[in-house]
Amino acid sequence: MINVVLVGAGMVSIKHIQAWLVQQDAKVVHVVDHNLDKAKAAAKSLGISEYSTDYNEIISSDEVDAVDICVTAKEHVDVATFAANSGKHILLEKPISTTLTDADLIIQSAEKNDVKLMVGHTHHFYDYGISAKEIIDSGEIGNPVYIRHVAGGGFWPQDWTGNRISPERTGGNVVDNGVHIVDMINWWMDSRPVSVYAQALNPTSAHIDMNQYFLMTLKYQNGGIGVVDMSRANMPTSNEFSQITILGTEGEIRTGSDVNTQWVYKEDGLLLDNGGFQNGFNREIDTFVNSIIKDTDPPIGGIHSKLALQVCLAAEISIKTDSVIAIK
Amino acid sequence: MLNVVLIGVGGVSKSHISAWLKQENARVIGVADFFGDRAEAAAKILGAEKWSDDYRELLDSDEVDAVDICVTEAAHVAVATDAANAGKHILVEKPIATTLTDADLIIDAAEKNNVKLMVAHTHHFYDYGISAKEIIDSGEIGVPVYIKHVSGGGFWKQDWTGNRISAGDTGGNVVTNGIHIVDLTNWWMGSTPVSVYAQALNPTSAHMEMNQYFVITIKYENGGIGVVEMSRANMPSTNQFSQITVLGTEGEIRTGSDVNSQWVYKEDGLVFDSGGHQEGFDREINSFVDAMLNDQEPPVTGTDSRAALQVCLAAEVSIKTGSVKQIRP
Repeated sequence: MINVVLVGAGMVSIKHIQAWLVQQDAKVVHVVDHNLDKAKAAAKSLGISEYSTDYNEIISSDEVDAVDICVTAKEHVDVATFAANSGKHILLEKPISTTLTDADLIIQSAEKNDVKLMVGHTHHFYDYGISAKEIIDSGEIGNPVYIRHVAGGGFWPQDWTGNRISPERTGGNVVDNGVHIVDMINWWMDSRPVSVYAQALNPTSAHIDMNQYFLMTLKYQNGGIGVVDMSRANMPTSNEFSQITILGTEGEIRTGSDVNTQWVYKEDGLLLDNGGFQNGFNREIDTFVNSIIKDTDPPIGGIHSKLALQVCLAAEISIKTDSVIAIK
Repeated sequence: MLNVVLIGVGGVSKSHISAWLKQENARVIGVADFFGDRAEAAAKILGAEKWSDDYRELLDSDEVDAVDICVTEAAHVAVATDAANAGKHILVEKPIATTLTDADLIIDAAEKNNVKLMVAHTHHFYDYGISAKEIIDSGEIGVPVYIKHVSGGGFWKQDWTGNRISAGDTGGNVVTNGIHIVDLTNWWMGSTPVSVYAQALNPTSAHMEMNQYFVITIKYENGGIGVVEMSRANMPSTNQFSQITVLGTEGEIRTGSDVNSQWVYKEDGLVFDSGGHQEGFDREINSFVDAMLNDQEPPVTGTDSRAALQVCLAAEVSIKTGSVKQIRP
């Protein structure tokens, strides 16, 4: 049994808690949050009575094997390096951090202490993401040359409150939300991004220092193009949709406004592939636990996540300067 | 009655001919094409009395009021300036020309000779284009800030032959095809483009000098973003689809994979607006004829078309250099 400390009991932790509760091989033994009431409530929902406001003591404990870090992105570096230095395996919410320096500190401390580091890029674990990856890897559509992912929703203003509207704490909309999609495209394209251009808008809320909408165009080393089109200000606010196009040299994957149903088109006709819908958080937690039990490398290590962060930070610069930023 | 000479009887002229045949206030009285037999065949369909393999022979007549120019893009400048200097009104196929210098020569010649110049940006005249423009102008969705137009099809393979795969003759895929959508985005946004970034692909046909696929991002003076994404290499090659998103400060227009059905979403719900589907070519020819007969400014001027051409040419530079290209006024 893997004993886990959950650090950070904010919004995303609710999804993690549900996934930890169905785990057979691991359990959360303690919850930490700056806010004791939140820590207590999370512990209660996990059916445990251990919680506190300070992670140092509990992470240092010999009883603990791993840490699930759900604190604000800016705080990732402190908690993750402490956990690594205490010899604990790390599951870290995306983005890995808000700066490349912090990402390097996290990656290096995990390496130095020989602990596993996985970053929770949830979309990697949904059926739709895996299904598209499997179609590409099968060679059915030839080499992918163009990947567009449109993710729209009216999340703002309904759930953009507190930390989420603080670019300083989250890294901003592109880093906090866009990193999901950048990571997917990097994974599907299976090539290195070489440059990025982005534009952004804040059409309805000038008082917020974050964009609600952005469009990013990536150029890959293999000549491929990636487009990330993300809106958080669609109307009505209850609206949510995603759409994927993956154009290959011999066919293409398209979806309707629900990415879980995927169609593969080739010159000789249509193949329907129902991507299904498994909860990504469950599979993410399963994957992390298995990598510890079987002592294998987790599928999304720090290097992978750092690259997605690097693209998002470059996109923020591109937005400010209206120029193309090379990814070094 | 407006008397027209049709010059150029290639692919696009078929749509023009069928629109001219329905005209009550105008008629084609002469047809010219490099290939005299093609000109003769088209003249017979149109009931025109004259045809020639040299358009200049047909221009030199007081009977002729206007020309409809459907020759290859790079040849527009010669035919259009000759027509202007002969005092004939001009309907010229899009793009206005393949260079800004040629566009300026055409615009200047029309001005100098006081003839009307309209550029045939057909999408301007389809119900879907007009419907979106009317929704925007009504204020229903506030100020447009983001316009995306995805236009996909497998036209490459099925109808990319001859001139159409010559970047020299047509100006290339962005200029000859992309300009439709750039023009619409300029029109809907109602603002001036200030910078362009584009990328392109030629995934399946390395032997061609033209891209089959491109994505352009346009930044507008009002802060708005335009995205033009066009593929001509979708599979299967019979496939054709378009999709529009117009995001405004108070609502948005979206379509399915058929732009003729448009939905307007606002915070308090959905307004359904079916864009309908009138043949754009018919309305385009009607608009031209009306502007001539009523002595009005045509709806898509040389200046409008030049602005779209400038964006497309900047996009081609951006594709080659991998950098953002500023649009100078």
